[in-house]
Order: sequence, then C-alpha cells, then structure tokens
Amino acid sequence: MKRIRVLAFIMILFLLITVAGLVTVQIFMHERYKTMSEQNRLKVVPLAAPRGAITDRNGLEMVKDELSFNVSVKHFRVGNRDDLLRDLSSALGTDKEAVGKELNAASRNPFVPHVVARDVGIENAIRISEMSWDHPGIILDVTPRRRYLAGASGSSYLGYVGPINREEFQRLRPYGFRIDDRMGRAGLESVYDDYLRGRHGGKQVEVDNRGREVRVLGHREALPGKPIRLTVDLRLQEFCDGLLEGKRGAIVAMSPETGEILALSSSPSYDPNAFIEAGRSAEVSRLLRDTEYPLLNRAIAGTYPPGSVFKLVVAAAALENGVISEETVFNCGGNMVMGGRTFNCWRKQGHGNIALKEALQVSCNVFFWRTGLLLGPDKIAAAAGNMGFGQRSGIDLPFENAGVLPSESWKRKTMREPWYRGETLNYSVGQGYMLASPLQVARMTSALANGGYLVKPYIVEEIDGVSVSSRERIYLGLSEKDIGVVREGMKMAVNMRRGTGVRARDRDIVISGKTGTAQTSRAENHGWFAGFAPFDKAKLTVVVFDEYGGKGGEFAAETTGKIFRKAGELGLL
Amino acid sequence: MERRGKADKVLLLAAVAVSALGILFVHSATWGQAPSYGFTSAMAFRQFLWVIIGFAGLFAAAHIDYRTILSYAYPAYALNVAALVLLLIFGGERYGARRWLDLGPFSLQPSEFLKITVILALAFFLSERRESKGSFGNFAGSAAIVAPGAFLIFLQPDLGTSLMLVPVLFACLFIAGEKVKYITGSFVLGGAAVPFLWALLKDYQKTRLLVFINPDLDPLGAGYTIIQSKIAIGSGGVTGKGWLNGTQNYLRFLPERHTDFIFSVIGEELGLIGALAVIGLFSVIIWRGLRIMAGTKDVAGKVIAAGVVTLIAFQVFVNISMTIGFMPVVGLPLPAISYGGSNTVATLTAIGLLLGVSRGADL
Repeated sequence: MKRIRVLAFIMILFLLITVAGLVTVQIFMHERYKTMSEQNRLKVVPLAAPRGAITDRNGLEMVKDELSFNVSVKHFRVGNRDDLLRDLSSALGTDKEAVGKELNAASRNPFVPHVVARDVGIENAIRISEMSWDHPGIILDVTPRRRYLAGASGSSYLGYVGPINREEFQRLRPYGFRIDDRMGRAGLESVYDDYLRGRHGGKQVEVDNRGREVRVLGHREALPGKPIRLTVDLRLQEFCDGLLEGKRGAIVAMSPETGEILALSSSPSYDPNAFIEAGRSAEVSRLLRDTEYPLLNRAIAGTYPPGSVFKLVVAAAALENGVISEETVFNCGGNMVMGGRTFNCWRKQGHGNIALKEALQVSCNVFFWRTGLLLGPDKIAAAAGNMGFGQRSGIDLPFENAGVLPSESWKRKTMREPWYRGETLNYSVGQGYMLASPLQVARMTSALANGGYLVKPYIVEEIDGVSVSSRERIYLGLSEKDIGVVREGMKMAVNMRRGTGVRARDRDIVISGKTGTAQTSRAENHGWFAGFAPFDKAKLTVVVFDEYGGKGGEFAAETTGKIFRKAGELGLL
Repeated sequence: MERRGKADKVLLLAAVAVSALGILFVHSATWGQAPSYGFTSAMAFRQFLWVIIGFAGLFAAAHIDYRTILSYAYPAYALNVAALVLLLIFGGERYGARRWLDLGPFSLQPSEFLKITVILALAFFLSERRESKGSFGNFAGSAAIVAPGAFLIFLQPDLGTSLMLVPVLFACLFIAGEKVKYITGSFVLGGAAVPFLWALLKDYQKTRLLVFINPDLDPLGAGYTIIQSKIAIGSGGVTGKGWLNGTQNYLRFLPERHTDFIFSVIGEELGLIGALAVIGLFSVIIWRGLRIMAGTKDVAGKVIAAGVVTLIAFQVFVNISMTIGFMPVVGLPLPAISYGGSNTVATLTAIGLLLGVSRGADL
C-alpha cells in the first residue's frame, strides 16, 4: 500500500505540473499567443489603385495605367531551391544564372518578398501563377504600370512618375501611400498628382500555413485616379514634335481666344517610359546628365532674348502712347550712331523712308530704335509687362520661368548702374537684358490676334469630366485702330514681297506674323517666329523658337507655315 | 483468487469518453483538409473503426482471465520483438524512421503493442519468481526482458517510446516489491550514460532536444512545431475557439495536428476547460488503476496494473508537456486520442487488461 501511495504521489505531481503549464500558457500568456495566432492567419493584401489616364482634347489616350505582372520570391517559403530555379527560368524564358542571382538576393532577406522579374507579360504570368502551388515562395503581384503611349510626344508637359523616397514615405504614409508607390515627378504628373493618384484599397484575408488565401474577411475597393483631358490636340502635338526632331527649340500652339494649349513642344525631348521600365536606368542617368537639357521644357522654362518679335510690343506701345502715329516716317540709312557707337540695321544699305507697317514687314531696326528712344525704357517695360513679359503666365505646369523685363529701376536695383541710351536701342529690338519664354511670346502674339486681350494659357481642360479651365483674360485697353495697324504690319511681313516672314506664307490661309533673329553670345543666332491665323478671326497662335538655329525668317517661319497648314487640315482653323 | 467479480464500470466509462473525444478531435484536425465521407472526415471514420477494434480487444482482455493471458506472455513478447527485428530489416522508412509494418490496407506499429507485451512478460516473470522477491536476479532479469525491446525501438529510431519503457519497468519493479536501491542505482548509472547515449542519437533527435531548450534557435525548422503548438494552446484561452474553429488547426499552422499534437487542437478549440477535462478523464483512469492495484493481492495483477497505469500516465504527461514546450518533441501519442490504429487498439486493450485485473480485486 505504501508503495502505491508513492506511485500515486508521483503521478499527481506530474499531473499538477501539466495543469500548471496549461494555466500559464492559456491564462497568463493567452493575450500574447492570441496576437500571434492572429498574425499567423491574417494578412492584408494591398489593392493598388490605377492612376488616372491623360487624354488629348479629342479623347485620344496619351498616358494610361496598364496591368503589369511582377514575380517576387519570399525566400523562407522556398522548398526546393533547385526545382524553383529550373521552373522559374523555364517559365520566364531567362537563363538560370540570372534567376539564380535574384534568388540569392532574395535569400539575403528571407522574410521580405524580393522581386525577381518585373513586367513579365500575361503569358508568363499565367505560367508563374500555375507554378505557385508547387512553389509556395512565389508571389505574383499584379500592379498597374504607367505607360506613355505617345512616347516622347508631349513629354515636356506630361512629365513622368517616379518612386517615392524614404522621407516622403514617412511624411505621406498617413495619406495612404505605400513604400513602393510612385508619384508624379515632373510636368502634369506632378502638378495634378493629387487627382491622378487613386486611393489604394486592400483586403484582409485569412491565409493558411503556406500563405494561400482561405477566405476574404474585409475588403476596401481601390479607388482609381481621376482621368484628365487636355486642351492639346495629339495629332498636332505629334506633328510639331516631328518638326523639331533633331533640332533644339520649342513650339507653342495655342488658341488666342481662350488660352487653350493645342501643342507644346520642346526639343530635344525624352521618352518618359524610360523612367518606368525596368532596365532603362542607364538611359535615365544619361538624360539627367545631358548638356542639351532634354528635361528642360524650353517652351515655358527656357528664356531667351526675343529679338525682333519684341518689335510688336514696341509698336503697340508707341502707338498707344502717341509717340508715333501710323504715318510717322523715319529714315533708315542702314545704321545709327549712339554714344559714339554705330548700330547697324540688318540691311546695310538701309530701308530709306519707312513707316510703322512697313517697318514691321521688313523688320527695320532703325525705325524701332528711333521709336524706342521716344518711348524710353520704362514705357517699353510697362507695355511689355502688360502683355505678360517678366511674369509667369500662370499656366498649369511647373517650373515656368518669368524671364527678365528690364527697366531703369530694374537696372539700378540689380546692377547698381544707370540706364544708358544705347541700351534702349537694344531693348527696342528685343536684345540686351530682355529674356522671354516662347510661351510669353505666344501670349503677347495672342493678345494682338484677339484684339487686345491677355489670355491665361492652360493645358488641362477637364478632370474626371468636370471642366476646370477658368479661361481668364485681361482687357489691355489698347485701341482697336492701333492693334489693327500692328496686325496689318504682321500680315504684310508674311504675305508681301520683301516681308521677312514670307516663308511662312500659305496660299489658302492668311497667316500673319513677325520674325525674330536674336543675337546671342555665340556665333549662331536664335530664330523666332510668332504668328497667328486666320487674319480676321484668329483661331491659332503659333510661336516657333529655333535655338541657335539662325534667322527667324528661315526654319522658324517655314515651320510655322507648316503648322498652320496642318492645323487647317485638322480643322483647327 | 478464484473469484471473478464485476469489472470496474467507472474505468470503462472513462475509456469510452476518452475514445469518443479522440474521434471528435481527429475529425476536427482533418475536416476539410483530408478526404471525407460526407459528414465525417475519412480519418475520423478510420479512427472510429480503430476504437471499435480497440473495444473488441478491451472486452476480450477483460473477459479472459489475465492468468490465462499471462501463460502466453513470453511467446507474445518474443513474437513482438521478432516483429521489431523484421521491421528493422524490411520495414519501409516513413518520416525517417522504421516504425510501421506494412500489412496491405493498413500498417501496424509493433512498438505500440510492445508496450503491452512487455508489461505482460514482466508480470509473468515477477510473479513466477515471487519467492526470490528483492533479489538482484529479479531486478536484472526484468531489465533483461525490457532491454531488447527498448533497444530495437531506439534503433528505429523512436526515442520517446523506448524511453517510455524505463518508467514502466521501474513502476512494475517497485509495485512488485523489488528493492528500491536497484532502481535508484540504475538511475545513477543511467545518468552517467547520458553522454554516451547522446553520441548514439540521430542528428534530428539532437536538434529536437536543443530546440526544446530554445525554440527560437530555429523558428521555421525544428522549433516551428513547438512555437505553433504553444500559439494554438495559448490562443485557446479559457474557453477556446470552439470545435472545428481553431485557426491554428484548420489553417494548418499546427503540424501533426491529428496525431502527436492533437492535444494542441483540443487546447485551442476547447480552451483550458477542455484541456483540464482531458486531464481529468485520464486522472480517472489513473485513479481507478491505482485503486485496482491496491485491491489486488496477486503480484501479476499488481504488476499489470502498475505497468498499464504508468504507461498511460507517462504518455499523457509527456505528450501534454511537449505541446506546451515543457518537454522536447519526442513523438509520443496521446493514448486513445491521437489518430492511429496501433496506439488506439493497444491503449484500449491495456485498459481491458486493467479491467480484467479489477474483476479479481477487492474494490
């Protein structure tokens, strides 16, 4: 009996140990293990929201999100590495060595999915997803990927998207950003990022021990980004981009009535897809280092001396201020002496006695020198400022450059020097300190084309079907008659013999415009042409800037003519 | 000694309750994960068949006079040892061990039956030599009987089952009235032999023992089972997640959930209440066994009772302890609850032997 009691005692002791163990685990450590069991079974699967598409004025797609398939590997779930390597490389059609390298990279951080192949295409994606039952370590991510359908066309304002960095992620996490998110990095993608970007959704799923979904517990739909419709006509845009191929320069085509941008080109340009597609990083770093600055949008962010297109401003200002009239005649002997220096008109033998309209037609420098001296720099500056120079137009694009609008007080302030009369001569013909962007020139030209209204250019017409254009315009208060004289001079410059812009001329469309040839610090000049058409009721303003390309009457004028003809064909005139 | 009284009904009821619980939780652990026959999983149905066969064994063992059974103890044990030898030579490997003897539609685990035949052989030996009680011969002879079985099982390798035979041997010797100094003496010797035994262990056995000391050593390999089992039981709390609702169970985070780790499923789904109920049922079996032991004058009957009670008690203790990380994972089933024909039939037959002894006992 005593021995049975000893045996009983031992067994009771053991049973009490197990009971104590169970109480510890199930009562005192319950919360901890409960959390661990929830972590085991619950997983949040993000549902990426596609970014909004960008279309041209006619609804042609320029940018959109496409489905892209990425293959990732969570290394700690990999069973047989050799089998996985063989199956993956055969499904992807890549050699084992490359896949093996990625698997090695994945093994360095075995709990974090490592992307082994990007953008694998739908056929490969199906093969991979069939494999995932045998290889639980494989994860197939379906994510939207940005695609720029027009390639480099429009890239100057469309911009591109890029991954967010760590600091941005910390800052933006409360707004639903994920670490692998991309955001607009330039152009419209950046300005309208808040609209284009959707809201990510997600679903909470129950997963089994191999990470497979068993059931969905909660679901929040991804909210796609809002689509944006532009004022741009993609057909005209592509035509303009084609004209600048291999050149440096910019083109602005806008509606003088409303400020709608119909085409905006900057050359050299770049393909925004390079920022998205895997394996093009070398191209990107080349773009960033390129001394020709392909990422610079010359049309709005580049500023250059406007040259003789600025004579339009001086002409309008002189008439308005009454320092000359339509009939005022100056004699051009081919040069002018000022402060002991001789200023030469571009035509050495001179233009003889000449009045305003003809002076615009043949772009006589002496006429505008004299006119400019009558006006003085501050009146020129005031008139130019009214017509949008020296200020940002407010176009809905980033990095617009205001340029430089000199005046006596400007010079005193910035250079601590008085204004010299010789500088007034330069100023009158758009040289010297004056710097303007092609967009500013287009805005000024539009004011002459539409009868005296300064319009605010814009490029986004609608967001998600809602019109966002304000169509702001400011009445400049110029008299109809004065504007009419300047317009007449522009018409003559293109359509009459000896006009400097005859190369822009068209048989059917009455194009009016003004050439400009701006001297630079280099041997080559910048060529300008600023024009509008049709003459009576202008529908389109076109400015062509030809960087270091020569005279405005050559490539710039010729190109402008082609653009108007194309616009006519497209029914835009 | 000629009296054949009633068998212990409480013990019988406890055996029925434990077996029923086993079927319920084999069902829960395999439902929706393995083939099913409509309302029940195929494995639960098979377990049900094993229980039926087990109860046939139980009733046979209870009905036949255990002294008659004892007269076949040596041949039965010899046959069982022979089966283990055959297994080592011809047995196919499963999970890195030769434990199963393939018999076509099902397979036998001779080591499970050895737990009974060794007890019978010990009972026969010690009752035959009751005149020389307390002699070194009795102790050494008993150890010599257990040794070949234990060694062959160790070679399979099945460390848990072979070590299980040690407390069974000691309990039988102790209750038979053999000298305690031999038992304590062999404990000391055994302790001294540990470093040599360590060298004999397979790598995976060593890993298991090391991981037992620190499961985080290898959280996805050997430690995984312990961690997942603790998560299952711990997350069950007091009341559990409900039958068939254990997420660690049906989402398959728990390995071996219908066999060695079925207690984790019970702990997760029925909570502390269910876990204590399981311990309670086994306590009833142990209590009744000790009571039968006390009421039996016959040495053979006492030894059988001591062997069976110790066998069940230690398996329960070791199995539950390993599910809560108190013991290394050694692969011992929960008697009559873990899925498996050999375990179920052997356990129920052993309880039948106990019932047979109870019929001659003064209760």
